[in-house]
Amino acid sequence: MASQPNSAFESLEHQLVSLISERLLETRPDFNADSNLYDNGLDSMAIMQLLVLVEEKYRVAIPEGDLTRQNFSTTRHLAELIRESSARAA
Amino acid sequence: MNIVDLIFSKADRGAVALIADGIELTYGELITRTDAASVSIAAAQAARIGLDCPNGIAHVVLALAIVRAGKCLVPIASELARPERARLIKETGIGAIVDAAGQVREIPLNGELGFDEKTLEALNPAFIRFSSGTTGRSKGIVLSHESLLARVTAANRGLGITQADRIVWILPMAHHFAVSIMLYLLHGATTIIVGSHLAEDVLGAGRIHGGTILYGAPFHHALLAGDASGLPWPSLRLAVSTAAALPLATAKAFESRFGLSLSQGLGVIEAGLPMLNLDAQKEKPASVGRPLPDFSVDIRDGEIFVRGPGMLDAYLTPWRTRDEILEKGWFRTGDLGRIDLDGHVFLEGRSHSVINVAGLKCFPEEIEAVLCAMPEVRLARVVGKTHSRVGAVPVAEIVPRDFTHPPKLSALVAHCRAALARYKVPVEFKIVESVPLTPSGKIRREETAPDLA
Repeated sequence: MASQPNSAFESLEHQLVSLISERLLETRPDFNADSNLYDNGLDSMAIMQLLVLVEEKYRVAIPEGDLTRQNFSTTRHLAELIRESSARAA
Repeated sequence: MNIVDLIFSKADRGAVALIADGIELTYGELITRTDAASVSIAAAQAARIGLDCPNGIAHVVLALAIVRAGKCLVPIASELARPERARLIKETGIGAIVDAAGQVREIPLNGELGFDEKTLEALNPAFIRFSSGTTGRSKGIVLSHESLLARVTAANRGLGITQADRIVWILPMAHHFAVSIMLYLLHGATTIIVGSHLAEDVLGAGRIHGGTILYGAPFHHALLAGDASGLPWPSLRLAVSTAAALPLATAKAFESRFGLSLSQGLGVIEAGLPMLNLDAQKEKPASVGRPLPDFSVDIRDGEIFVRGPGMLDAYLTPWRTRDEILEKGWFRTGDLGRIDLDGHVFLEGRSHSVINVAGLKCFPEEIEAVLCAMPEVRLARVVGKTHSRVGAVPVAEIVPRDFTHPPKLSALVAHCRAALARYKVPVEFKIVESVPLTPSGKIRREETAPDLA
Protein backbone atom coordinates (compact mmCIF):
# COMPACT_ATOMS: atom_id res chain seq x y z
CA MET A 1 0.00 0.00 0.00
CA ALA A 2 2.76 2.41 0.95
CA SER A 3 4.06 2.51 -2.60
CA GLN A 4 0.72 3.47 -4.16
CA PRO A 5 0.32 6.92 -5.62
CA ASN A 6 -1.37 9.71 -3.76
CA SER A 7 -4.62 9.41 -5.70
CA ALA A 8 -5.23 6.00 -4.15
CA PHE A 9 -4.86 7.57 -0.72
CA GLU A 10 -7.42 10.16 -1.68
CA SER A 11 -9.78 7.45 -2.75
CA LEU A 12 -9.61 5.60 0.55
CA GLU A 13 -10.78 8.72 2.34
CA HIS A 14 -13.55 9.14 -0.21
CA GLN A 15 -14.62 5.54 0.11
CA LEU A 16 -14.75 5.89 3.86
CA VAL A 17 -16.72 9.12 3.71
CA SER A 18 -19.31 7.32 1.55
CA LEU A 19 -19.28 4.23 3.74
CA ILE A 20 -19.82 6.25 6.90
CA SER A 21 -22.62 8.40 5.52
CA GLU A 22 -24.40 5.61 3.65
CA ARG A 23 -24.06 2.82 6.16
CA LEU A 24 -23.46 4.26 9.58
CA LEU A 25 -24.23 7.81 10.59
CA GLU A 26 -26.75 10.52 9.80
CA THR A 27 -23.95 12.78 8.67
CA ARG A 28 -24.29 16.51 8.11
CA PRO A 29 -24.47 17.81 4.53
CA ASP A 30 -20.94 19.21 4.61
CA PHE A 31 -19.46 15.95 5.95
CA ASN A 32 -15.93 15.30 4.68
CA ALA A 33 -12.71 13.51 5.56
CA ASP A 34 -11.79 16.12 8.16
CA SER A 35 -15.18 16.38 9.86
CA ASN A 36 -15.22 15.36 13.49
CA LEU A 37 -16.88 11.95 13.61
CA TYR A 38 -18.07 12.34 17.20
CA ASP A 39 -19.88 15.54 16.22
CA ASN A 40 -21.56 13.50 13.50
CA GLY A 41 -22.94 10.99 15.96
CA LEU A 42 -20.16 8.44 16.33
CA ASP A 43 -21.03 6.82 19.65
CA SER A 44 -19.76 3.65 21.29
CA MET A 45 -22.05 1.39 19.31
CA ALA A 46 -21.18 3.12 16.06
CA ILE A 47 -17.46 2.72 16.70
CA MET A 48 -17.98 -1.01 17.03
CA GLN A 49 -19.93 -1.13 13.79
CA LEU A 50 -17.51 1.06 11.92
CA LEU A 51 -14.76 -1.30 12.97
CA VAL A 52 -16.72 -4.32 11.72
CA LEU A 53 -17.47 -2.62 8.41
CA VAL A 54 -13.94 -1.46 7.63
CA GLU A 55 -12.31 -4.69 8.78
CA GLU A 56 -14.64 -6.67 6.52
CA LYS A 57 -14.30 -4.36 3.59
CA TYR A 58 -10.53 -3.87 3.62
CA ARG A 59 -9.59 -7.25 5.12
CA VAL A 60 -7.55 -5.71 7.87
CA ALA A 61 -7.36 -6.41 11.58
CA ILE A 62 -6.86 -3.23 13.54
CA PRO A 63 -5.02 -3.96 16.80
CA GLU A 64 -7.02 -3.20 19.95
CA GLY A 65 -4.28 -0.87 21.15
CA ASP A 66 -4.95 1.41 18.17
CA LEU A 67 -8.63 1.84 18.96
CA THR A 68 -8.19 5.24 20.52
CA ARG A 69 -10.38 8.30 20.60
CA GLN A 70 -7.87 10.14 18.42
CA ASN A 71 -7.79 7.45 15.70
CA PHE A 72 -11.57 7.62 15.31
CA SER A 73 -11.84 11.38 15.46
CA THR A 74 -11.94 11.95 11.68
CA THR A 75 -12.23 9.88 8.52
CA ARG A 76 -8.70 10.92 7.60
CA HIS A 77 -7.30 9.53 10.86
CA LEU A 78 -9.26 6.34 10.32
CA ALA A 79 -7.88 5.99 6.78
CA GLU A 80 -4.38 6.35 8.15
CA LEU A 81 -5.08 3.65 10.69
CA ILE A 82 -6.35 1.29 7.99
CA ARG A 83 -3.28 1.95 5.85
CA GLU A 84 -0.96 1.22 8.77
CA SER A 85 -2.79 -2.00 9.62
CA SER A 86 -2.74 -3.06 6.01
CA ALA A 87 0.97 -2.31 5.66
CA ARG A 88 1.73 -4.27 8.83
CA ALA A 89 -0.16 -7.28 7.51
CA ALA A 90 1.61 -7.17 4.13
CA MET B 1 -43.94 -3.01 48.14
CA ASN B 2 -42.12 -0.43 46.02
CA ILE B 3 -38.52 -1.29 45.30
CA VAL B 4 -37.41 2.33 44.95
CA ASP B 5 -38.88 3.18 48.35
CA LEU B 6 -36.90 0.27 49.72
CA ILE B 7 -33.67 1.49 48.07
CA PHE B 8 -34.18 4.97 49.46
CA SER B 9 -35.15 3.83 52.96
CA LYS B 10 -31.90 1.86 53.23
CA ALA B 11 -29.71 4.55 51.69
CA ASP B 12 -26.89 6.35 53.47
CA ARG B 13 -27.67 9.87 52.26
CA GLY B 14 -24.12 11.05 52.43
CA ALA B 15 -22.68 8.20 50.34
CA VAL B 16 -22.00 8.69 46.65
CA ALA B 17 -24.56 6.93 44.45
CA LEU B 18 -23.49 8.00 40.97
CA ILE B 19 -20.48 9.51 39.25
CA ALA B 20 -20.66 10.80 35.68
CA ASP B 21 -18.82 13.49 33.74
CA GLY B 22 -17.00 14.68 36.83
CA ILE B 23 -20.20 15.04 38.85
CA GLU B 24 -20.72 13.10 42.07
CA LEU B 25 -24.31 12.60 43.20
CA THR B 26 -24.94 11.43 46.75
CA TYR B 27 -27.84 9.18 47.68
CA GLY B 28 -29.42 12.18 49.38
CA GLU B 29 -29.21 14.21 46.17
CA LEU B 30 -30.47 11.25 44.16
CA ILE B 31 -33.52 11.01 46.41
CA THR B 32 -34.19 14.75 46.11
CA ARG B 33 -33.90 14.68 42.31
CA THR B 34 -36.01 11.55 41.99
CA ASP B 35 -38.74 13.03 44.16
CA ALA B 36 -38.78 16.22 42.10
CA ALA B 37 -38.98 14.29 38.83
CA SER B 38 -41.69 11.96 40.04
CA VAL B 39 -44.20 14.77 40.67
CA SER B 40 -45.10 15.33 37.02
CA ILE B 41 -44.74 11.62 36.26
CA ALA B 42 -47.20 10.69 39.01
CA ALA B 43 -49.67 13.18 37.57
CA ALA B 44 -49.82 11.37 34.24
CA GLN B 45 -52.77 9.06 33.65
CA ALA B 46 -50.60 6.37 32.12
CA ALA B 47 -49.88 3.13 33.96
CA ARG B 48 -46.87 2.35 31.75
CA ILE B 49 -44.33 5.03 30.97
CA GLY B 50 -41.60 4.91 28.36
CA LEU B 51 -38.17 6.32 29.15
CA ASP B 52 -36.32 7.80 26.19
CA CYS B 53 -33.04 8.94 27.66
CA PRO B 54 -29.38 8.14 26.98
CA ASN B 55 -27.05 6.71 29.61
CA GLY B 56 -26.29 9.11 32.40
CA ILE B 57 -27.42 10.42 35.75
CA ALA B 58 -30.71 11.61 34.21
CA HIS B 59 -31.53 8.09 33.06
CA VAL B 60 -31.14 6.72 36.57
CA VAL B 61 -33.09 9.56 38.18
CA LEU B 62 -35.98 9.31 35.71
CA ALA B 63 -36.15 5.51 35.77
CA LEU B 64 -36.33 5.57 39.55
CA ALA B 65 -38.89 8.40 39.44
CA ILE B 66 -41.16 6.38 37.16
CA VAL B 67 -41.01 3.32 39.38
CA ARG B 68 -41.33 5.33 42.57
CA ALA B 69 -44.45 7.02 41.21
CA GLY B 70 -46.02 3.57 41.00
CA LYS B 71 -45.78 3.45 37.23
CA CYS B 72 -44.33 0.66 35.17
CA LEU B 73 -41.03 1.58 33.50
CA VAL B 74 -40.56 0.72 29.83
CA PRO B 75 -37.08 1.67 28.56
CA ILE B 76 -36.95 2.83 24.94
CA ALA B 77 -33.51 2.07 23.52
CA SER B 78 -32.06 4.96 21.56
CA GLU B 79 -30.87 2.80 18.66
CA LEU B 80 -34.37 1.71 17.67
CA ALA B 81 -35.49 2.68 14.19
CA ARG B 82 -38.79 4.50 13.88
CA PRO B 83 -40.96 1.44 13.07
CA GLU B 84 -39.38 -0.57 15.89
CA ARG B 85 -40.05 2.24 18.33
CA ALA B 86 -43.65 2.55 17.15
CA ARG B 87 -44.17 -1.18 17.64
CA LEU B 88 -42.75 -1.04 21.16
CA ILE B 89 -45.04 1.85 22.10
CA LYS B 90 -48.11 0.16 20.66
CA GLU B 91 -47.53 -3.33 22.01
CA THR B 92 -46.65 -2.27 25.55
CA GLY B 93 -49.45 0.28 25.62
CA ILE B 94 -47.22 3.10 26.81
CA GLY B 95 -49.39 6.06 27.81
CA ALA B 96 -46.60 8.61 28.24
CA ILE B 97 -42.96 9.09 27.35
CA VAL B 98 -40.42 10.83 29.55
CA ASP B 99 -37.51 12.41 27.70
CA ALA B 100 -33.98 13.17 28.86
CA ALA B 101 -35.09 16.57 30.22
CA GLY B 102 -37.75 14.89 32.35
CA GLN B 103 -40.59 16.25 30.21
CA VAL B 104 -43.64 13.98 30.28
CA ARG B 105 -45.52 13.67 27.01
CA GLU B 106 -48.78 11.76 27.17
CA ILE B 107 -49.64 9.78 24.09
CA PRO B 108 -53.02 8.40 23.17
CA LEU B 109 -53.38 4.63 23.31
CA ASN B 110 -53.70 3.35 19.84
CA GLY B 111 -55.52 0.13 19.11
CA GLU B 112 -56.27 -2.94 21.18
CA LEU B 113 -53.78 -4.17 23.73
CA GLY B 114 -52.73 -7.79 23.55
CA PHE B 115 -53.12 -8.17 27.33
CA ASP B 116 -55.60 -7.36 30.07
CA GLU B 117 -54.58 -4.23 31.95
CA LYS B 118 -56.20 -5.28 35.24
CA THR B 119 -54.43 -8.63 35.18
CA LEU B 120 -51.12 -6.89 34.53
CA GLU B 121 -51.69 -4.31 37.28
CA ALA B 122 -52.49 -7.10 39.75
CA LEU B 123 -48.90 -8.31 39.35
CA ASN B 124 -47.53 -5.00 40.78
CA PRO B 125 -45.35 -4.49 37.68
CA ALA B 126 -42.28 -2.24 38.01
CA PHE B 127 -40.57 -2.88 34.73
CA ILE B 128 -41.24 -4.14 31.22
CA ARG B 129 -38.31 -4.92 28.98
CA PHE B 130 -39.49 -5.20 25.41
CA SER B 131 -37.34 -7.28 23.10
CA SER B 132 -37.45 -7.24 19.36
CA GLY B 133 -38.58 -10.30 17.53
CA THR B 134 -40.94 -11.73 15.03
CA THR B 135 -44.64 -12.28 15.10
CA GLY B 136 -45.53 -14.95 17.60
CA ARG B 137 -42.31 -14.69 19.54
CA SER B 138 -42.76 -13.75 23.17
CA LYS B 139 -42.12 -10.07 23.72
CA GLY B 140 -42.20 -7.83 26.73
CA ILE B 141 -40.77 -9.31 29.92
CA VAL B 142 -42.78 -8.17 32.93
CA LEU B 143 -41.02 -7.87 36.30
CA SER B 144 -42.86 -6.99 39.48
CA HIS B 145 -41.33 -5.07 42.38
CA GLU B 146 -41.19 -8.35 44.30
CA SER B 147 -39.46 -10.25 41.50
CA LEU B 148 -36.93 -7.46 41.03
CA LEU B 149 -36.04 -7.55 44.71
CA ALA B 150 -35.81 -11.34 44.69
CA ARG B 151 -33.54 -11.46 41.67
CA VAL B 152 -31.15 -8.69 42.72
CA THR B 153 -30.89 -10.27 46.16
CA ALA B 154 -30.12 -13.66 44.61
CA ALA B 155 -27.62 -12.20 42.13
CA ASN B 156 -25.76 -10.42 44.89
CA ARG B 157 -25.08 -13.67 46.68
CA GLY B 158 -22.61 -14.14 43.85
CA LEU B 159 -21.50 -10.58 43.12
CA GLY B 160 -21.13 -9.69 46.80
CA ILE B 161 -21.55 -5.97 46.20
CA THR B 162 -21.34 -3.72 49.27
CA GLN B 163 -21.16 0.00 50.02
CA ALA B 164 -17.42 -0.23 49.41
CA ASP B 165 -17.87 -1.17 45.77
CA ARG B 166 -17.57 1.18 42.82
CA ILE B 167 -18.95 -0.25 39.61
CA VAL B 168 -17.64 1.00 36.26
CA TRP B 169 -20.72 1.10 34.03
CA ILE B 170 -20.47 1.16 30.24
CA LEU B 171 -23.46 -0.85 28.99
CA PRO B 172 -26.67 0.73 27.66
CA MET B 173 -29.06 1.30 30.57
CA ALA B 174 -32.05 0.79 28.30
CA HIS B 175 -30.88 -2.83 27.99
CA HIS B 176 -29.47 -3.35 31.47
CA PHE B 177 -31.00 -1.78 34.53
CA ALA B 178 -32.63 -4.25 36.89
CA VAL B 179 -29.91 -6.69 37.92
CA SER B 180 -27.36 -3.94 37.64
CA ILE B 181 -28.07 -0.31 38.54
CA MET B 182 -31.00 -1.29 40.81
CA LEU B 183 -28.81 -3.90 42.47
CA TYR B 184 -25.94 -1.46 43.04
CA LEU B 185 -28.27 1.16 44.50
CA LEU B 186 -30.01 -1.33 46.77
CA HIS B 187 -26.64 -2.33 48.22
CA GLY B 188 -25.40 1.22 48.67
CA ALA B 189 -22.60 0.99 46.09
CA THR B 190 -21.34 3.74 43.76
CA THR B 191 -21.96 3.49 40.02
CA ILE B 192 -19.42 5.21 37.77
CA ILE B 193 -21.09 5.94 34.43
CA VAL B 194 -18.60 6.05 31.54
CA GLY B 195 -19.87 7.37 28.23
CA SER B 196 -17.38 5.54 26.05
CA HIS B 197 -16.15 1.99 25.49
CA LEU B 198 -12.66 3.06 24.51
CA ALA B 199 -9.97 1.59 26.75
CA GLU B 200 -8.44 4.96 27.61
CA ASP B 201 -11.79 6.23 28.91
CA VAL B 202 -12.86 3.09 30.79
CA LEU B 203 -9.45 2.54 32.36
CA GLY B 204 -9.14 6.24 33.14
CA ALA B 205 -12.44 6.30 35.00
CA GLY B 206 -11.65 3.05 36.79
CA ARG B 207 -8.31 4.38 37.98
CA ILE B 208 -9.45 7.87 38.96
CA HIS B 209 -12.53 6.72 40.87
CA GLY B 210 -11.16 3.46 42.25
CA GLY B 211 -13.49 1.17 40.32
CA THR B 212 -13.80 -2.26 41.91
CA ILE B 213 -16.18 -3.97 39.50
CA LEU B 214 -16.47 -3.95 35.74
CA TYR B 215 -19.37 -5.35 33.79
CA GLY B 216 -19.10 -5.72 30.04
CA ALA B 217 -19.28 -7.85 26.93
CA PRO B 218 -16.20 -9.62 25.50
CA PHE B 219 -15.87 -6.81 22.96
CA HIS B 220 -15.29 -4.27 25.75
CA HIS B 221 -12.85 -6.51 27.58
CA ALA B 222 -10.85 -7.03 24.38
CA LEU B 223 -10.53 -3.26 23.96
CA LEU B 224 -9.31 -2.91 27.54
CA ALA B 225 -6.91 -5.82 27.22
CA GLY B 226 -5.39 -4.12 24.17
CA ASP B 227 -4.71 -0.88 26.02
CA ALA B 228 -1.11 0.02 25.43
CA SER B 229 -0.63 2.51 28.26
CA GLY B 230 0.59 -0.14 30.71
CA LEU B 231 -1.28 1.64 33.52
CA PRO B 232 -2.51 -0.79 36.17
CA TRP B 233 -6.02 -1.00 37.63
CA PRO B 234 -5.24 -2.26 41.12
CA SER B 235 -8.65 -1.58 42.67
CA LEU B 236 -10.45 -3.92 40.27
CA ARG B 237 -11.68 -7.01 42.14
CA LEU B 238 -14.30 -8.49 39.78
CA ALA B 239 -14.65 -8.19 36.02
CA VAL B 240 -17.81 -9.81 34.71
CA SER B 241 -18.11 -10.84 31.10
CA THR B 242 -21.58 -11.39 29.83
CA ALA B 243 -23.89 -11.17 26.83
CA ALA B 244 -21.78 -13.28 24.44
CA ALA B 245 -19.33 -16.18 24.56
CA LEU B 246 -15.93 -15.08 25.83
CA PRO B 247 -13.15 -15.91 23.35
CA LEU B 248 -10.20 -17.63 24.99
CA ALA B 249 -7.79 -15.10 23.49
CA THR B 250 -9.69 -12.23 25.14
CA ALA B 251 -9.74 -14.05 28.49
CA LYS B 252 -5.98 -14.61 28.32
CA ALA B 253 -5.17 -11.09 27.12
CA PHE B 254 -7.27 -9.49 29.87
CA GLU B 255 -5.69 -11.68 32.53
CA SER B 256 -2.15 -10.88 31.48
CA ARG B 257 -2.89 -7.16 31.12
CA PHE B 258 -4.64 -6.66 34.48
CA GLY B 259 -3.64 -9.69 36.56
CA LEU B 260 -7.29 -10.57 37.09
CA SER B 261 -9.28 -13.26 35.32
CA LEU B 262 -12.61 -12.39 33.74
CA SER B 263 -15.64 -14.05 35.32
CA GLN B 264 -18.16 -15.19 32.79
CA GLY B 265 -21.76 -14.94 33.85
CA LEU B 266 -25.00 -16.07 32.31
CA GLY B 267 -27.52 -13.27 32.44
CA VAL B 268 -31.00 -14.19 31.30
CA ILE B 269 -33.54 -11.41 31.09
CA GLU B 270 -36.30 -13.81 32.20
CA ALA B 271 -34.31 -15.23 35.11
CA GLY B 272 -31.73 -12.70 36.29
CA LEU B 273 -28.17 -13.86 36.94
CA PRO B 274 -28.35 -17.59 37.71
CA MET B 275 -24.69 -18.39 36.99
CA LEU B 276 -21.35 -16.68 37.48
CA ASN B 277 -17.87 -18.14 37.31
CA LEU B 278 -16.41 -17.27 40.70
CA ASP B 279 -14.26 -20.29 41.43
CA ALA B 280 -12.71 -21.39 38.15
CA GLN B 281 -12.14 -18.20 36.15
CA LYS B 282 -8.50 -18.95 35.57
CA GLU B 283 -8.72 -22.69 34.95
CA LYS B 284 -11.96 -22.62 32.98
CA PRO B 285 -12.46 -19.17 31.44
CA ALA B 286 -14.95 -20.62 28.96
CA SER B 287 -17.33 -21.63 31.76
CA VAL B 288 -20.19 -19.50 33.05
CA GLY B 289 -19.52 -21.16 36.40
CA ARG B 290 -21.77 -22.95 38.82
CA PRO B 291 -25.29 -21.85 39.65
CA LEU B 292 -25.40 -19.16 42.35
CA PRO B 293 -26.59 -20.42 45.79
CA ASP B 294 -30.32 -19.82 45.23
CA PHE B 295 -30.39 -21.35 41.74
CA SER B 296 -30.44 -24.82 40.26
CA VAL B 297 -29.46 -25.74 36.76
CA ASP B 298 -30.37 -28.72 34.65
CA ILE B 299 -29.38 -29.74 31.15
CA ARG B 300 -32.13 -31.45 29.19
CA ASP B 301 -31.41 -32.66 25.68
CA GLY B 302 -28.47 -30.28 25.62
CA GLU B 303 -30.52 -27.24 26.62
CA ILE B 304 -29.98 -25.28 29.84
CA PHE B 305 -32.90 -25.00 32.27
CA VAL B 306 -32.71 -22.86 35.41
CA ARG B 307 -34.79 -22.59 38.57
CA GLY B 308 -34.62 -19.96 41.26
CA PRO B 309 -36.02 -16.73 42.72
CA GLY B 310 -37.04 -13.63 40.79
CA MET B 311 -38.24 -15.25 37.59
CA LEU B 312 -40.23 -13.05 35.25
CA ASP B 313 -43.89 -12.54 36.15
CA ALA B 314 -45.25 -12.72 32.62
CA TYR B 315 -44.65 -12.25 28.93
CA LEU B 316 -46.70 -9.33 27.70
CA THR B 317 -47.43 -10.35 24.11
CA PRO B 318 -48.71 -12.90 23.70
CA TRP B 319 -49.76 -12.84 27.35
CA ARG B 320 -48.36 -15.74 29.36
CA THR B 321 -48.05 -15.87 33.11
CA ARG B 322 -45.08 -17.25 35.01
CA ASP B 323 -46.96 -20.49 35.73
CA GLU B 324 -47.61 -20.96 32.04
CA ILE B 325 -44.02 -20.17 31.07
CA LEU B 326 -42.18 -22.27 33.62
CA GLU B 327 -42.09 -26.03 33.32
CA LYS B 328 -42.68 -27.23 36.90
CA GLY B 329 -40.69 -24.23 38.11
CA TRP B 330 -37.92 -24.55 35.51
CA PHE B 331 -37.21 -21.91 32.90
CA ARG B 332 -36.01 -23.09 29.53
CA THR B 333 -33.25 -20.61 28.60
CA GLY B 334 -32.86 -21.42 24.90
CA ASP B 335 -29.11 -21.70 25.51
CA LEU B 336 -27.42 -24.96 24.70
CA GLY B 337 -24.80 -26.16 27.12
CA ARG B 338 -23.06 -28.88 29.04
CA ILE B 339 -22.00 -29.36 32.63
CA ASP B 340 -18.73 -30.93 33.75
CA LEU B 341 -18.06 -33.21 36.71
CA ASP B 342 -17.33 -30.22 38.99
CA GLY B 343 -20.67 -28.67 38.13
CA HIS B 344 -19.28 -25.95 35.91
CA VAL B 345 -21.54 -25.04 33.02
CA PHE B 346 -20.34 -24.30 29.50
CA LEU B 347 -22.44 -22.61 26.82
CA GLU B 348 -22.59 -24.21 23.40
CA GLY B 349 -24.72 -21.86 21.33
CA ARG B 350 -28.41 -21.13 21.11
CA SER B 351 -31.27 -23.48 20.35
CA HIS B 352 -32.75 -20.95 17.98
CA SER B 353 -31.56 -18.51 15.44
CA VAL B 354 -30.80 -15.40 17.48
CA ILE B 355 -27.77 -13.42 16.31
CA ASN B 356 -25.75 -11.90 19.13
CA VAL B 357 -23.81 -8.81 18.03
CA ALA B 358 -21.52 -7.99 20.95
CA GLY B 359 -24.39 -8.66 23.33
CA LEU B 360 -27.12 -6.98 21.30
CA LYS B 361 -29.53 -9.56 20.02
CA CYS B 362 -31.53 -9.75 16.83
CA PHE B 363 -33.48 -12.40 15.01
CA PRO B 364 -32.80 -13.26 11.37
CA GLU B 365 -36.54 -13.49 10.76
CA GLU B 366 -37.11 -9.81 11.55
CA ILE B 367 -34.31 -8.72 9.22
CA GLU B 368 -35.58 -11.01 6.47
CA ALA B 369 -39.08 -9.61 6.85
CA VAL B 370 -37.73 -6.09 6.41
CA LEU B 371 -35.76 -7.09 3.30
CA CYS B 372 -38.71 -8.93 1.78
CA ALA B 373 -40.81 -5.78 2.11
CA MET B 374 -38.71 -4.31 -0.73
CA PRO B 375 -40.45 -4.81 -4.06
CA GLU B 376 -37.16 -5.81 -5.73
CA VAL B 377 -36.59 -8.65 -3.25
CA ARG B 378 -38.25 -12.03 -3.77
CA LEU B 379 -36.59 -13.93 -0.93
CA ALA B 380 -34.02 -13.13 1.71
CA ARG B 381 -32.02 -15.26 4.09
CA VAL B 382 -30.13 -13.80 7.02
CA VAL B 383 -27.67 -15.71 9.13
CA GLY B 384 -25.18 -14.82 11.81
CA LYS B 385 -21.63 -14.95 10.53
CA THR B 386 -19.03 -15.64 13.18
CA HIS B 387 -16.95 -12.56 13.83
CA SER B 388 -13.79 -12.54 15.90
CA ARG B 389 -14.41 -9.13 17.42
CA VAL B 390 -18.13 -8.95 18.13
CA GLY B 391 -19.12 -12.63 18.16
CA ALA B 392 -21.46 -12.54 15.18
CA VAL B 393 -22.76 -10.16 12.54
CA PRO B 394 -25.84 -10.48 10.35
CA VAL B 395 -25.18 -11.19 6.69
CA ALA B 396 -27.88 -11.40 4.03
CA GLU B 397 -28.48 -13.36 0.88
CA ILE B 398 -30.98 -11.82 -1.50
CA VAL B 399 -32.92 -13.50 -4.27
CA PRO B 400 -34.04 -10.62 -6.51
CA ARG B 401 -37.37 -10.57 -8.28
CA ASP B 402 -35.65 -9.55 -11.50
CA PHE B 403 -32.10 -10.79 -11.96
CA THR B 404 -31.42 -8.22 -14.65
CA HIS B 405 -32.21 -5.46 -12.14
CA PRO B 406 -31.12 -6.63 -8.71
CA PRO B 407 -31.48 -4.12 -5.87
CA LYS B 408 -28.46 -1.90 -5.34
CA LEU B 409 -26.39 -2.20 -2.18
CA SER B 410 -27.13 1.41 -1.28
CA ALA B 411 -30.88 0.80 -1.62
CA LEU B 412 -30.75 -2.32 0.53
CA VAL B 413 -28.77 -0.50 3.21
CA ALA B 414 -31.02 2.55 3.13
CA HIS B 415 -34.12 0.39 3.41
CA CYS B 416 -32.72 -1.58 6.36
CA ARG B 417 -31.48 1.52 8.12
CA ALA B 418 -34.94 3.06 8.00
CA ALA B 419 -36.57 0.01 9.56
CA LEU B 420 -33.99 -1.54 11.85
CA ALA B 421 -31.67 -0.59 14.65
CA ARG B 422 -28.19 -0.06 13.27
CA TYR B 423 -26.61 -3.23 14.66
CA LYS B 424 -29.24 -5.31 12.85
CA VAL B 425 -28.37 -3.94 9.41
CA PRO B 426 -26.50 -6.73 7.59
CA VAL B 427 -22.79 -6.18 7.17
CA GLU B 428 -22.80 -7.95 3.80
CA PHE B 429 -25.45 -8.41 1.12
CA LYS B 430 -25.02 -11.06 -1.52
CA ILE B 431 -27.24 -11.53 -4.56
CA VAL B 432 -27.95 -15.26 -4.99
CA GLU B 433 -30.09 -17.41 -7.26
CA SER B 434 -31.79 -19.27 -4.46
CA VAL B 435 -31.67 -19.78 -0.70
CA PRO B 436 -31.90 -23.17 1.00
CA LEU B 437 -35.43 -24.08 2.06
CA THR B 438 -36.87 -26.81 4.25
CA PRO B 439 -39.30 -29.32 2.72
CA SER B 440 -42.15 -27.17 4.05
CA GLY B 441 -40.76 -24.10 2.30
CA LYS B 442 -39.27 -22.25 5.26
CA ILE B 443 -35.84 -20.69 5.18
CA ARG B 444 -33.20 -23.13 6.30
CA ARG B 445 -30.82 -21.59 8.74
CA GLU B 446 -28.95 -24.44 10.40
CA GLU B 447 -26.32 -24.46 7.69
CA THR B 448 -23.22 -22.52 8.50
CA ALA B 449 -23.09 -18.94 7.42
CA PRO B 450 -22.13 -18.40 3.79
CA ASP B 451 -18.53 -17.49 3.25
CA LEU B 452 -18.73 -14.07 1.73
CA ALA B 453 -15.02 -13.63 1.33
